[in-house]
Amino acid sequence: MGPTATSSSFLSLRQFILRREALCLYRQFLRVSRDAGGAREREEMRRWVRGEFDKWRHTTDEGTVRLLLTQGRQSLNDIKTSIEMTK
Amino acid sequence: MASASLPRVLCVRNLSSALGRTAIQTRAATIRAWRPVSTASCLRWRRQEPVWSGLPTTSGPRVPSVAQRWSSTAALSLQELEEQVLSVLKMFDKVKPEQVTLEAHFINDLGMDSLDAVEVVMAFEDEFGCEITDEEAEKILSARDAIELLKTKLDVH
Repeated sequence: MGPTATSSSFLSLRQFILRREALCLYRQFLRVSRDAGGAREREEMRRWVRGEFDKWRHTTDEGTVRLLLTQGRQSLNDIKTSIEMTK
Repeated sequence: MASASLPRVLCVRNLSSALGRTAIQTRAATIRAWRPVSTASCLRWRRQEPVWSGLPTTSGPRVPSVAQRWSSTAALSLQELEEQVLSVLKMFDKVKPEQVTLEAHFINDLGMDSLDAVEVVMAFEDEFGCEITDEEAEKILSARDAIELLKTKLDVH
């Protein structure tokens, strides 16, 4: 039997750090969304990013979370580049 | 070689498919007419009047943020800061306005999750025209916490 992933409120240090990274990434997305155009574009982007984060909300597997964080950062960079280009 | 310019093209294509539809075109048009937008005008937040009146090309009425309203006039008083922080919280659409107090914990009392808390801190940044670092943001879990931080940032007595 492997370790069971419970929705316990106790996080290991690693989980705590990953959670912190995820929240920082979300904050970075929101920062970038400020340059995404007007209020409408901004809200559209927020809703999309929020949807992605919510989709993986209950993921506890460390490897998966790491992968998602990497993908998220990549996606953030892509968006930054695109916004720069339209300026 | 043409390959040098390829990644940029791919990047835009990925983004537009990810964001869907004509997001990129509208964004390109609006970015040209870009001006700072207060979160008070962000759709997610409750407001008296609609942010835009159904027309994608026109920008709706905007509520000036505290930063704009107060920058050239008298400094914010502590009471005004408190009122403004509470009103930002009350506008957040996941929060019941009547539950908002200075001491209410965002997550335990107001029913937010950690992502909502991030959004609220961003709204404070917009509203008060200041930058809040990741470390500072993590410690903001009630209106009181926000006021204590903003007090020092905005030099309010």
